[in-house]
Amino acid sequence: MPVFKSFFKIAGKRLRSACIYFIIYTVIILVFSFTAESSFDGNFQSSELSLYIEDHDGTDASRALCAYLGSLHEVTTEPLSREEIADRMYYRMLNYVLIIPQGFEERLLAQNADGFLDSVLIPGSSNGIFVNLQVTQYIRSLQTYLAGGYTLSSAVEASDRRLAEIPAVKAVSFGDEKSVTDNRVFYFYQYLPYVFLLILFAGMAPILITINEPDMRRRTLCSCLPASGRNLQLAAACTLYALLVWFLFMLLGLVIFRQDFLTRYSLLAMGNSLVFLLFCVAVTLFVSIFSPNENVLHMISNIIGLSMSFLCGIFVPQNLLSDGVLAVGKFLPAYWYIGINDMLALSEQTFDLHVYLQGLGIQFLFAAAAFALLMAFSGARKRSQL
Amino acid sequence: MYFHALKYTLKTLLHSPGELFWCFAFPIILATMFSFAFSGLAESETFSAIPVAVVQNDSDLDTILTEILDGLNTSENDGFLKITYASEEDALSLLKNNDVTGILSFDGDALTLSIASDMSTLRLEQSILQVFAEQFNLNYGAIADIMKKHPERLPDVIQMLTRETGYLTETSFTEGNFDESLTYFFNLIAMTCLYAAMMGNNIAINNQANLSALGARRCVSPVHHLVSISGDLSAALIFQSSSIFIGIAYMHFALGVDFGSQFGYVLLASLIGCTTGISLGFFIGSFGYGTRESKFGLLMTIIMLNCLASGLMIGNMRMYVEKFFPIYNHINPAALISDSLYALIVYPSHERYFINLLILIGLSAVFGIGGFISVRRKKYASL
Repeated sequence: MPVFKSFFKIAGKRLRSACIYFIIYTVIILVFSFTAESSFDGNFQSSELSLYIEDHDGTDASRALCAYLGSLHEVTTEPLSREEIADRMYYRMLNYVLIIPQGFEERLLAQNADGFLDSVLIPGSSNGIFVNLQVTQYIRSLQTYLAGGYTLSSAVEASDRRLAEIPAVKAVSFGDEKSVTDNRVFYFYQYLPYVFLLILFAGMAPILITINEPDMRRRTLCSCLPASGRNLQLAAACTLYALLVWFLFMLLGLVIFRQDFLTRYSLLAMGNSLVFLLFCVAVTLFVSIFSPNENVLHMISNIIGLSMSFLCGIFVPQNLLSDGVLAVGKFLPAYWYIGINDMLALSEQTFDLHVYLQGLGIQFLFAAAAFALLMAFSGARKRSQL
Repeated sequence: MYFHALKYTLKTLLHSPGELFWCFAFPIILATMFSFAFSGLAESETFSAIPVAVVQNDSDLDTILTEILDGLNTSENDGFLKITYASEEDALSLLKNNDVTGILSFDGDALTLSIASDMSTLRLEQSILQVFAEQFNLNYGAIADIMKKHPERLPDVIQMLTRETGYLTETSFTEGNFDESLTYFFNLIAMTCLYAAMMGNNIAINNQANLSALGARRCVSPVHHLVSISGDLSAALIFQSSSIFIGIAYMHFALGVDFGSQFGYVLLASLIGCTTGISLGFFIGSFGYGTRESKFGLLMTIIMLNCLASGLMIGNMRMYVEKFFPIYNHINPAALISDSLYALIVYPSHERYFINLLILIGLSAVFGIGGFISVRRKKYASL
């Protein structure tokens, strides 16, 4: 097995840089998994947004409004500069700003608070409309009680009591099984395609490029080893290398998520990642036959990795992508990978074995197509080089 | 000799068709993909009418609810709700097929909302429906309370409730563009600038006798290192900044990416960003005795981590860094480049922009001088 052995000899020489890549992509996937927002667990919880409130009134009425919003959202009241507010709003770390001017309580008691509060929001955003509705609802409730002869303190008390009595939202489940998987597990799987692509490009492609160098290739081809044997050994080495990478990431997932990583749906997601790995191996092999240098290799890997991630829903959820983008995404295997992963993340209601197998099959076909392309180009290049 | 080095490094770069193509194509291809991928992002944030099913059970409250809902029902996007009246069975079927976001129905005297628990992606729309149901219940409850305690005030209350009221006035702190997708383009420019580090790294390697044959030849030549390396670095800067200028022009004119009206400042930021990228690569390539591969690996690690922290993959990552490790945002070249571009479109003054550029220039100077110190007067026992 000389080609197989030399592949791993070269890999051994590049072990230090491979370790660096493994560490960086481990950091990246962990950052991705843990910064993703917490998932829906079946019990409806209203959207919790980030609010900043400037209360210049400081009265019972303004405090009641702040307390009401504070019970629903994450409210910041420590003074922020206009620049800090703009930064936070641009990066969507702050969804809404409410400014309560002095004299709010007086206006409220005089039933003359129309247009008195100031709000800052992303123009036209649903988040802004949502909080606007809540603010309006609460003040309107206070004003209703005030108009009905209540004092301010009793109006606040009555509104809060009525709010507490409102029946909870009913979450209807259309499935039978209860999911017990921590959804961060699926965020971990969600970002794996990007990581697999980049790590194989960074770690495996340079080894293949070294083996495919014209002189080395010619020396191997004129030896007693048949070309098919060489290719077979190379394919076995690549598969083993990729499986090793896959195994390390699965081990990482197991260490971090423990039992959650071994649930039925997590194991199905594991199978999904294994099929996607095949496609990554095929693409890496395909690009490496053109022997680009390392700079170009990184650019190509980022073009493929980032494009696929943004078009298929790895970095931006598929439900936020337009129909046109999703239509294009269907021509990429990561779209089907993410489709399966999203389905598994909501496993209790939506899991469908037929859809799962169909997704795996399509990814498998993409990998087969990439391998076929690889064989065609590899053959053409061999003829042109000899 | 400076111009000689510059000329031949430029010639070398131009005679490498693969590298030439990818350097110029990298920002263009990715920007095109970004533009396509983010085409629906702004719309996803914008409010549009929420589809909802209403189940009626012939109670008096149904009439009141229908009157309110008819005022909100619309088939156009600028309305609040898109209502379908249906039986309970049909409503559940609509919910199951994701045709509606929720079902409104009466449970005794209270208006209740039912949602599908697997539609977590529509949580905001569900929450807005929840507020609507709450508002109805609050008003109904208030009327019931007032009828018990102060029935004589009921006409005032009804008058108050029927009056159209808006308590909020929308204001803005800045006239800037708040399109979230711009941050990805800024980070793409930052990444392209930092990719210039690979050229800086190659220049450093090509000037070290233990790492390249060219380095060995250069070591024995009588030319001062500072002069030849300056020529090499200048050529890399010309090459890389040309590619990024073309990329930015493509983004602005072909893809319509809004960099504001200060295009010259955008080019200046990217030029300084390229300088930082090249000097960073030169420093890593010159420092220590690592192999070509390990230096390249280290450089890629730095570039990828910096781009991750500045928000290339997750747009608001910069704010997480600001929360937990704010100093990193002030030394991360990718974050500084993208923040300079952000400051241009959001703030009317250039203070923040120039502070970022000054830090980038400072970093370039530190990396450049550090690199020169590392490669000067190196001696080899044998080659």
